[in-house]
Amino acid sequence: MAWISGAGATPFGRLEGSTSLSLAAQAAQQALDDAGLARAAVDGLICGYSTTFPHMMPAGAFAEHFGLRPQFAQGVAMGGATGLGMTALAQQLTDAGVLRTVLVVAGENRLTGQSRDDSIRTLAQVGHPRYEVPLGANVPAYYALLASAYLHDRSATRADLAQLAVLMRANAGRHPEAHLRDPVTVADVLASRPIAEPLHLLDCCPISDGGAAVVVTARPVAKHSVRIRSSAQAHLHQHVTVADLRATGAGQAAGSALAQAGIRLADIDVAGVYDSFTVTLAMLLEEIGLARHGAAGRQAADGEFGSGGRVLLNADGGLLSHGHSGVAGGLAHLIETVRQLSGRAAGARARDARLGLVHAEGGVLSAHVSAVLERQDG
Amino acid sequence: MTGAPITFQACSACRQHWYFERPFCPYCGQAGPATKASTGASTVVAAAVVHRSADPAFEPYEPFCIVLADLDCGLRVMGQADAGVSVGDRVTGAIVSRGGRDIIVFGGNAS
Repeated sequence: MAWISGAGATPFGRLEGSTSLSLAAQAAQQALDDAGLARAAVDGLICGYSTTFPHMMPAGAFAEHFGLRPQFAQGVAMGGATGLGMTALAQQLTDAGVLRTVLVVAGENRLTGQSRDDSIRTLAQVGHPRYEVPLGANVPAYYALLASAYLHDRSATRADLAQLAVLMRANAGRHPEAHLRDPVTVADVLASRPIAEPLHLLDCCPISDGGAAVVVTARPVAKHSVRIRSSAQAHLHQHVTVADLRATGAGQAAGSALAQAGIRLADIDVAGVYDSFTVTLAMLLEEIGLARHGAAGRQAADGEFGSGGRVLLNADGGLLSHGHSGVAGGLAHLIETVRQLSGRAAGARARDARLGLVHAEGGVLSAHVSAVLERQDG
Repeated sequence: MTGAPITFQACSACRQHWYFERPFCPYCGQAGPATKASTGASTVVAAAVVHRSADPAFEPYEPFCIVLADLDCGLRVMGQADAGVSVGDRVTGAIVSRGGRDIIVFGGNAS
């Protein structure tokens, strides 16, 4: 069995003077302290990439900097799914008995380490180098295409999608370490400046600095250790041009993770679902089955995803408001879910949460990873 | 829309066809697929209006429209499009020069 025994994250936002390594080190130290473990206990290290610190050997670079001599050290690159993908790999390696204590870590000064245009240009390269990028497309444009098809095919409105941005901002307002905390209304989202229509500024996550880390252990070494019941992936396309917009892989990955754990979706108390844009969250919730077709925004408005609702969603404010610092941003969904399940959340809290579902995607709904988490008994 | 036709590939062994060019069939692995020209007639399935592309080539064109369109042969293609194009529109796409590049642009009305 694999357990998340430690979690750590820096505040997200504008962190002047930070570097990818400094943010990762800060988060890693917090995660080790949280687990009550020393550096010497770490036998495995898995690190995410950083666009401001491109490196062929991110895990080796971090190990030396932080002061680790692990018997296993690898970098992982799965876009937004990297954080959960690294955690799933750590789970599999501990389950298999290969490793006992795996540090999973990422950090990136994505906001202050480069200009906004540089960041947009770098991220746009997730598109096809011949058939998509030369059109002047970029990540907001790829997701705007998804939003256009979503609104048309599912009879939803921009105001429906805006409800998800409103909910994420309300959650972030209750979390002391979130990037964007001032409340917004549906009218604010609709009136914000267009980025790639139908997406406007407040439909998009911010670019943030931040670091995040978890410690995955073969035994529940802390009182607050949370068990990783299962994980699963799906990779059905890389480029949005050839994606099946009705079945991107999210449903397959989540369904497989739930089946492995023998858990019904209806039993999930708390969820962390990737939300780079409002439409990302809507499409993932609906494909996973946490929301009805075309109704994610309206269900959010009805309170189904709040602390008194059916399932507490992204209680830290998600990428849309807690912030998006690359791989660490994706890890934040996992960390918030772990904290909910161990009764240690900083902001909005689920009541008596036992089971959590975390879902991440990378690219343009390209790489999918789902994991089912369960709190420790007693 | 006048310009060079949008092309795709087809496999003589398994009869599959696809858009992104490769020297082999991604379904069965057969080498040497045939390259075919489409008419460009298609239906728009998604349309986005990009206000800031961060690509200097297209700054003079901002805001501009990017679409996903289904060619009548069934393959989906991404291209730029004339302003005002929206989901469900019948359009014709071709490869034309814009911003110093040869890119696919959809416009007009296809029958």
